Parts: sequence; structure tokens; C-alpha cells
Amino acid sequence: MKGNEWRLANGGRIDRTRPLAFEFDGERYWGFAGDTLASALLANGVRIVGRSFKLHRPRGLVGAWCEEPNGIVQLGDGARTTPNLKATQVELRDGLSARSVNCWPNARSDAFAPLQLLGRLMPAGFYYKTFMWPSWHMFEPAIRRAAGLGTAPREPDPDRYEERHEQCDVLVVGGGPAGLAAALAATRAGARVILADDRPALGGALQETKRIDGAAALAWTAAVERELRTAPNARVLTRTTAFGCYDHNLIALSEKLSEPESAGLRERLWHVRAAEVVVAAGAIERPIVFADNDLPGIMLASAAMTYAAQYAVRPGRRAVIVTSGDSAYEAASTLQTAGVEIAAIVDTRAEPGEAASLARSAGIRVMAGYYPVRAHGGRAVKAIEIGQIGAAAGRINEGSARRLECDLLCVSGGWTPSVHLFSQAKGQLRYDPERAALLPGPGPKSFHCAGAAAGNLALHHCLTDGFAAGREAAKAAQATRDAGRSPTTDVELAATTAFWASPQSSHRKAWVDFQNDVTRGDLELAVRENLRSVEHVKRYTTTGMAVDQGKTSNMNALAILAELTGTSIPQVGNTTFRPPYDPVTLGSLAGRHVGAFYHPLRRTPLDRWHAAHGAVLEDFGGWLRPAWYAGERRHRDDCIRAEKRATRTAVSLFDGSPLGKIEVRGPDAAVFLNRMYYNGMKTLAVGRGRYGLMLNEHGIIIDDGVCLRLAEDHFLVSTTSGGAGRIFAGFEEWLQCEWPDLTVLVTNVTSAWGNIAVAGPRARELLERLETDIDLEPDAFPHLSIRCGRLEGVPVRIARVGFTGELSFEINIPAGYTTALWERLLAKGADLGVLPIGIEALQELRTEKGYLHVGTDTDGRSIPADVGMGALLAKKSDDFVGRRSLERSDAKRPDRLQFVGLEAQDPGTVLPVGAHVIADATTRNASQGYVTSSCMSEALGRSVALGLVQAGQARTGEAVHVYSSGRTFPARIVSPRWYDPEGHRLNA
Amino acid sequence: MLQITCPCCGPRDEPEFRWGGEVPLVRPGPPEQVSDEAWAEYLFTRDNPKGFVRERWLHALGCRQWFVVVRSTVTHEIRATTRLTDTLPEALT
Amino acid sequence: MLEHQQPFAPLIQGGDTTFVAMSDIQMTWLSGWGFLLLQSPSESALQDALMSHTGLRLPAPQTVSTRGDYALLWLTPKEWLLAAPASETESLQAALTRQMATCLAAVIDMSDALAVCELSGTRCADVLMSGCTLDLHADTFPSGRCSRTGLADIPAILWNPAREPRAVRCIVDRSHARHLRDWLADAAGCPGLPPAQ
Repeated sequence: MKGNEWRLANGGRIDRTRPLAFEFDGERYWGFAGDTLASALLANGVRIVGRSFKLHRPRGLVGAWCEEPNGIVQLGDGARTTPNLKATQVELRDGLSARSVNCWPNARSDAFAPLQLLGRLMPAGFYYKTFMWPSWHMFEPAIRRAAGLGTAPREPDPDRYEERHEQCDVLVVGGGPAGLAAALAATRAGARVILADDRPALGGALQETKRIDGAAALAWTAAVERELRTAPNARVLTRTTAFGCYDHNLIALSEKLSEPESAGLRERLWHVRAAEVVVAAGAIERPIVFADNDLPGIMLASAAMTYAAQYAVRPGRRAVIVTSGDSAYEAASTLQTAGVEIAAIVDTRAEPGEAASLARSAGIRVMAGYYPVRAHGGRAVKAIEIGQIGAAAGRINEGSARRLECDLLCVSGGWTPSVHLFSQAKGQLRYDPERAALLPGPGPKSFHCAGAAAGNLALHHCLTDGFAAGREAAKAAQATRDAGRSPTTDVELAATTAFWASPQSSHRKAWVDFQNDVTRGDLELAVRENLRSVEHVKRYTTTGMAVDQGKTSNMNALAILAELTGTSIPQVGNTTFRPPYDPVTLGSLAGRHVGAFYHPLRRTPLDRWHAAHGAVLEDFGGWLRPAWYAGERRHRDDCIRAEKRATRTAVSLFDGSPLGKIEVRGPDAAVFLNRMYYNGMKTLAVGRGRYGLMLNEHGIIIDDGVCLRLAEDHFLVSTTSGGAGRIFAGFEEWLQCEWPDLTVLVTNVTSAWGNIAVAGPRARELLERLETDIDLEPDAFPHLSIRCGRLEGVPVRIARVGFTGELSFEINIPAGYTTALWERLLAKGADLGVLPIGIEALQELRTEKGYLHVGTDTDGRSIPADVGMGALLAKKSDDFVGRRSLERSDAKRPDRLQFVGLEAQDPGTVLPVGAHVIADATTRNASQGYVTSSCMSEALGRSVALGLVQAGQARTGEAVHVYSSGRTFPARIVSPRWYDPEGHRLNA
Repeated sequence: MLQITCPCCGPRDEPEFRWGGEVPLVRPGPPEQVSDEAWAEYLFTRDNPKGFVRERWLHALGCRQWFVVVRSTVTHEIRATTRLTDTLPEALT
Repeated sequence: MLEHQQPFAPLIQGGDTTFVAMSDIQMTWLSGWGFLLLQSPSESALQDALMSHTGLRLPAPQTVSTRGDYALLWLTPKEWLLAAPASETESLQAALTRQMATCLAAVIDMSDALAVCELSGTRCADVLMSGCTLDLHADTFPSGRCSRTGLADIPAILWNPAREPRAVRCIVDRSHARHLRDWLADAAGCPGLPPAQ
């Protein structure tokens, strides 16, 4: 096979027996199982993997894992396409197809590349300053297109995502040597442990050449993993990023599942409540800021080492290593072993110590006390210009400049511990000048930082540190079994000194944030323009604000700011570490809350009957209810008309099962309900019901319904369908918090009872055809009363209440009998013309009757007086919820919105709901209210509407205009008591 | 997401609960003796301190009991939770 | 007389109450049960009434007491749920109501209001904890434990009836039965986690 010219003949943790074909920017390549997209691209000699955000400069790989700022790709096509993934984190699989983002047609030859020439013209704040007039919003879309990253899929995501809640004693974040040692100690101590690591395999940055407890490092890792995976009290999660720490030690983990075992499950979002947390998340190497430090071929020393050691890729032919610490010497030796010629190690330290002597004795040239001045090259690095650090700060020694040819420049400006979780848990960071890093300082007791995350880079430190942290954490969680002794290894060198940026370089081309194209020059400009707070500088220059959240750039930016403002890093402070640590997909956050599970719908006992009989089911207040019955494919309006006609002229059935049913009993039941209702309930006779409004303490109507008295100390409160849970909770709240002295029991029995409203002039006739011991005659059973008895042998509660204005019986029957009763009523009433009716018909029936529907014909300001019930206030002497608010001057304002009827001048015009009532048809500038319900009434032979209108009750008869979407309708304010105003039909 | 220890049910996650505002909140009455100012104070004015505050929470998805939580509005640290009927040591508030 | 339907009746096909059956998980609607909701501030009177008619003791918070075919679940400090054979609920309701006549009490038949789904198998906790924040592993949610909580975005009572075989009963409002069934079936279809804890 061709390709893979840069692949080493041996070594690496790739599976050479499994070649995988893939595509990048339309070209076909191949790699091996175990590769990432990045390592496979490098193995195939692809050096330019993306274009910079603002200026479209060619960019190559800088990192080898989550720190990568440049290799941003869009994966796949269609519904599964995923934008803005880091090529360094994309595991290679057969047939994978990726393309670079922010360039066209591809990263190698980008049509936007000439933008680079404008670099001088586009400093920090360029967009804000330039596109001010007339409005930023005019330019924004075009600018976003030119500077965008990937594109979101247009189709719904076909994959599954799952949520998972879990609790544990010790959560260990990071599966490198420190994390493994911590998990081992905590597990052995008997704690419930979860170990999470974001990579496909455990081991972190462990190099093959190391030995732990006498074994090869990878063999040791495998043994630890085996022990953890077989322990009953430990769980190991790989490909799992701990991306955020939330209140009370809730850690969010995003687990990516590997195909094909995942069977369509793509990611799992873990909510882990951890008693103790060990942060062993490692550290990220820093680039060094100098001119043209973004040329392809310049990468972190640790990344170059990873490509060579783990992926068996030679990242270059001739390398120069620029470093301020010991760790890069290991990279040099690894690269040398991989066949890379090491031109020199440039150490910014004047006296690099033992590491340098070891390198020199291995035949490597070490240039101590030099720093990088500028990189040379166009589409790839060709050479590095260095100079000796002079006596005067910011100067190089005369004549010390050297030029070193290379095609790989490895940089190491020190290490930034990944303390994100610790910081999010409100842990404080302190600057350690010796290690040139922000380290965990005082913080929550339950957080334990270990290894490189705590600033300890050497392996022996990681192991002892991690083990101690794991044991401590377990102990804090009361797991105290003997954990044995810590794993050990040889002591190694890990010294470093601070070196951030070369003083003498063209600052406008010395890149600080690769992903957002922020240079040292931008930071200088920000300071010159007097931005001092690090948070302001961050937002002005956008440094650290890209999708990598400044993993490689933040520390350098802080150090440069400190230098520019003549302060120190602790004085500059640091920006906030906000979750997520690494981007999380929206699919993962949505989990299974999509489609039918977006929000749970409730079903009535008649659900299956409705579905089988043509009901059009819709979501009404969380209940799936028949809007109307479609029957033999008749038009919607025809169906609703027929349902209304049956109710007005014969008899109809309505499934009212969702109506709230709350039982209230006890010696103080009447007193309690009298306080809960606006209307007086103390005087309600046993067996009778009373319509009532319920208010909140602001006097606003929150619900209505009929309160029925079953016995002296026993009431049945009926609430609106959507209100049952809310009103029941309100009852309990008042009883527990305000009136614990009242002896009352409340029970929500809504679902125990089915409810069928039998309404229409022949309703009684229909019920009389069933076997019952209840006297249905009007004298014995008047409107607004309730009777308990048996119907067809089943215990029922029948109430004479309704929402249609017709003779109406609401039958409450144990829910399990609802369907049988419904079918019997239909069968017995077939010759009477009985029809089932849906919500739409009911709404029109109650509209023409002039009944208000709380929440439709009232809004968040409506009080009883606004709906024509103000007079009752004077008749009730007792206190009730909301009473005092009704006495406020605002409640007595004459111009309040009041509930009225509205008639269009043209009886054939149905006024649109939401249309505004205006006084003057020409100016249309002041709304006096709006239409809330509206329909064509066949019973009245004209259209009718309800609305809320300013001072409406005093304006009965007044002509107004109703305005909606450019059309104006002449109308009149009327009393809404259109249908059967005397109530003969209701009381029949 | 807070973890709140319900006096009845033990530690549970925040979505099981409903917040009910600062306590004590004294409902003034009888209504005819309450001034507009006093009523507005009851409806709208809260201390909203920076630091520990006593508030009531409902374990809505559990035992449906209202109870008292002493919570820091700065750190969300919960110092104590007690039943409504229990008296809370002064030191905790 | 009218035909009676169990709360989950619309959800079963051909009389089979099991809706998920895999090697490691099974989900079944439990039938033949009746439920009485008991509320009373007079604990001792209620205890006496229960003792004389069922032999049950009032359970401690978040636990269940059982005796023969009866089980008594703690719901709230003043509320218990009595599970009994459906054929006995009416007479039990009458007997308990009679005995509690002198003090404030409510004995309410909730048989038609509640649907019970039993999950059994090793993956119980895994499936439930994808939609429930309670720690439902066998050691932290042992047999005899019952808790009101949220499951699948709806209120639910979870009850571990026995040490072996591993099972959890989910008691939900009948109006949510369909949602619960669909949600559980969907959750069970997700691939399993590696066995742990």
C-alpha cells in the first residue's frame, strides 16, 4: 500500500494488522486501528490541517490530544455530521470522512488565504471598531460566514444519547499514572470508585520506556486496569471527559461510546455525585510566543513525542527543540530513537543542568541560554532564528544570532496543570514561580489534586502523590481498609523555569492564541487602550475564547499581560474556568429528552377508545385529549359543528377525566376552603356545589371550578384539568406553612376517577335508561348539586355541573369502569343522536354561553372584579388568600382590563383571537385590550367573541374596532350572556 | 444541581424539590387592619442577604413536606435542614 | 354490571402483561392488586386498625412492611399506601373506615389510579438510573425499601420487594403508565454498562 511514508517501521500502540481507509478534504488516505485522524494525517505527510480563524493562515498540528488548537475538522455528512472536532481526538475508523473547517475549498489551498495580507489592518477590536455604522447586525452575517467554524447538521440526529445518574465515594478524574495510583488506593481501601479518563486507553502520558514496580509501564497499566475492572467496588470509564463540576460535588462526565458495541448509543452523560474527587487530569504543555510561531511543523514537544512513541509516526526529518525545562529532553531522545535528526536543543536556561549534560553525552547539541527569535518558512517551517539572551533585558547579544534549519520545531514553554474542576469547585489557584504554573491552593476539603495537575511532573511524584490522594479520599469517605504501598519508579528530572515569550520579535506575528488568531501585538494594543482587567482583555482580544478555551494560550497571555502592565502574574489574576472543559454535544445534553420523551404526556382512561374512534389527539395542558372526532374523514369544522349540534339539540359525551378532583376532609375543611376560595364556602349545603375562583396572594385568579360538599366535613374540589397538581400542592403548602392549626386532610384523587360529562337537552333521558339508585329529577337533583350512588351497579358520584350551558351531568366513576360506561352510554343513546365531543367543540360551546376559561380569558393581572364578580367581595367577611390585594388602589382602577363579549359588525366574521381592540381605526396606536376567545355560533346564528377590554364592563354597547395583522373589523362591546341568558336549559 | 437533605427522606437531588422563599414570612392580618405598605412589604420585600439565609423548601417529589434549609446564597453551602416544627439553633442563622 | 379494566389494560396485547423481556431485564405490569391510600394524623389509631385487619405494622420512613398478601408502603409522614389483593380492597376499605370513624382519617381506594410495573434482572438499576437520581444499587436500595422520587420525568414510587431475584417495582399514576412503558422499553434498549457495583 502507498502512503504512510512518515510511519515508523516498528513500535507504537497501533494495530498494523488493521489498516483503515479514510478521507480528508476529498483525498483518500489510510492509517491503522489505534490512530487518531491527526496521527494518520501526519503519517501520510499532511502538514496543513486547517486555516486560522480570522486571517486564514495555514496551520499544522500543535498538540496530540484535547489541547489541539488548529486541527479542527468537520466529520461525516448528512444527519450525523459533527462540526468542530479536534483531529487529535478523532479515533480513526474505516471509511471516516473529514474536512477542515474555516477554509474553502480545503485547508491546503484556501480561497480566503489573501486575508493574511490584511493582518495589519485587523487588530484586536477590529470588528467592533469598524462595523459600528449603521449597525453591527448588518455586517454580522457576512463576517460570521467568513470567520465561521463548522456547520451544524440540518437533519434530526439519528443517534441515541443517554443520561446516567450515579453516586460514588471517590471519583478519580484522569487515568494517567497519578489517577491509576489514586484509583488503586481508593479501591483497595474499599471505597466505591469511579475512574474516568478521556482517552480510549488508560495510561495517560506514560511512556513505554518507563518501569513501574519493576514492570514495563504499559504492563503495569494493564495490571492496574484489570484489578480495577474486576473489583466489585470500582468502575472504569474510558473515552469519558469530566467536563464540569457543579454544586455539591456533582461532576458531569461525557462518555463517548465506541462503535459497534454501542448499538446506536453515541454518548452517555453521567451526573456523578461524588463524596470525594481526585483531580489527576494531568497538565498541558505550553507553546512559546515568538514571531511566526504558528508555521506548520511547529508543535509541542510532548505532542511530537506522542506521535513518535504512541502512533509510530515520524513528525519530521530534522528537529530543533526549544525548551525552558527538562521534560523536552525526553522528547528529544524519543524523537532521536524514532530516526529524527536532532539539530539542536535550544534551552532558554543559561544553566540547564543535568538534563543537558545527559543529552550532550548522547551526542545531542544543546544551546543553553538561547531563545527563539523568529521562525522562517511559508507553508511549513524551514528554520528557526535564535539568539543569546543578553545582559540587558529584551535584547539579544550582538552577533549571537544563529539560524538552524529544520522541518520540525518542538517547543516547550513549561506546563499548565489542568485544574479546571478544582477551580470550578471554588478552589483557589496560586502562582508557583518555580514551576511557572498556577497550582491548586486552598480549596474544598473533598477535592484532592495529584500528579501533573498539582504541578508534579515527574513520574515518581505522580505515583506517590496519586496513591496518597486516593487513600486520603477513601479515608474521608470512611473507607479505611489497608491499601498497601504506593507503586514506585526511578526518580527523574522535571525542572523547569518560566519562559513565555521572546522579547524581541515582530509582535503582530507572534501568536498567543492560535485558534482565535490573537497575537502579542493584540495584547499590547489592548493594554495601550487602557484595558487592565484580564477579563476585559480576554473579551477585547478574544484570547482564550475559542473552542479550545485557551488551553495552550491562557497562561502565556497572563504572563505577557503581567509584563506589559509591569505587574506579576498573581496580580494579573486569571480568568474563570467555566465548564465544559472540552466541548460537549447538544445531543448529549438533550439525552433522551427528545421526540415523545421531550415532555411526558398523560393519558385518560378513555385513551385507547379515543384513538380507535377517530379522535384527533392533542396536548392540552399536558394531557393528550381529543380535539375533535374525525369520524368518516369529514372536515374538521364539520365535525366540530356536528358535535356542537348534538350537545345543543340532543345529547353528547365529553371525556372530562383530567378535571382535577381533590378531596378535602376534616373538622376544619369548610373553614379551610373558605380561605382558599374567593367565594364563600362555609355556607354551602351538603349535597350542593358552588362555582368558585381561587386567587393567589396578589389577588390574581389562578383557577376556578365547582366546590362540592359531600358531607359536613367532606368536600370534593374540582379544578381545571391543568390545575389539579398545582392547586393540590397549594392546599398542602397553606396547611403546612400558614395554618398548621387547621385539622384537614387533602387528597388528590384525580386519577382514581374517570369523568364523563353527559350534556344536552336529552341528557336526563339517556341517564334514565341506565340502572341507577339516584333520583335524576330536577327537583331532587338540581343544578349545582352532587349525588352519590350506583350506576349500572358501580359506585359513582354524579354532579350537575357543566361547561356547555345545557342540562349536564358529570359522572365520576372509578377509572377502570370509564370505558365500559362510555360505551354503554353511546349504545343506549344511539337513537337519541348521542355523540362524543372534543375540546374544540366544548370551547366553542362555552364561548357562546359566555363562560370564561381561566388562563384563556384571564391573564396574569385579572382579579375577580375584572370578570364581573367584584360584588361578592363585600358579601364575604372572612379573610381568604388574596383578599387584601383586592383592596389596593390598583385593584380599583377604572381602566382595568375587564372580561366582555365582542360582536363583529358582520355576523359572518369570526374575530381573530389575539386581535387588539382599538378606539380609533385610523391611528391604531393604543391597544385597549384584546380578543381571547372567538367562534362562529350556529346556535346564535352569528359569530361571537370574548375579550379583555379596558373598562369594558362600563362600555357595553360601545362601538370599537378590532385590529389584527393589517385588517380592522368594526365591532361592539356586549354582555357575553348570549346563549340561554335566563338559564332555563341549564336548570332543566 | 444542589443536593438537599430532606429531614424525612435524606439527601436528594434538587429537581425533587421546590424553593419557597425566605422564612420566617409573617402573613399580616386581619386584612382590614393591614396598611398598603405592610401588605406590599409582605408580598414583595425580602432581605436577600449575601450569606446564609433561612428558606423553606418543599420535597415535592418525595414526602411532600415543607421544611427549613439554611443555605448560603454565595456558595450554596447548606448548613442545616430541619422540619418546619423544629426550632433551629440561633447559631445556624 | 360494567366491565372493569386495570390501569395498564390499554397497554397490553393478548393478555400478556410483560412488555420487555431480554436476557438481563424483564418488565411486567403487575395485576390483581388493589391500593388503599391511608391518611391520618392519629398514628396509633391507624396502627390498631391495621393490626386488627391486616396484621401490619406502620413502616418506618422509606420502608415497606409486609405480611402475607399485604404490604404497607410509607409515603409521607401522614400517608401510607396499603397494597392488598384486589378482591379484598372494598371490604378492607369499609373495615378500616369503620374502625377509624372516631378520628380523622381518609381511607381512599386508589386501585384504579395507580399502575405498577415490575422490573427484574441484573440491569434494573442501570435502566432506572438513566432517569432517576436515586442510588438504586442493591446495597443502597435494599429489599424492603420504598421511596417516592422522580423517574422518567414523572413522579413515581420505587419499591424493592425482595433480596432475590433482583427487582424494582415502579408505582406511577395511571395517566403516566403509557409514558413509563415507552420510556422503560426505550431505556432497556440501550446497550448495557459493564457490570459494576
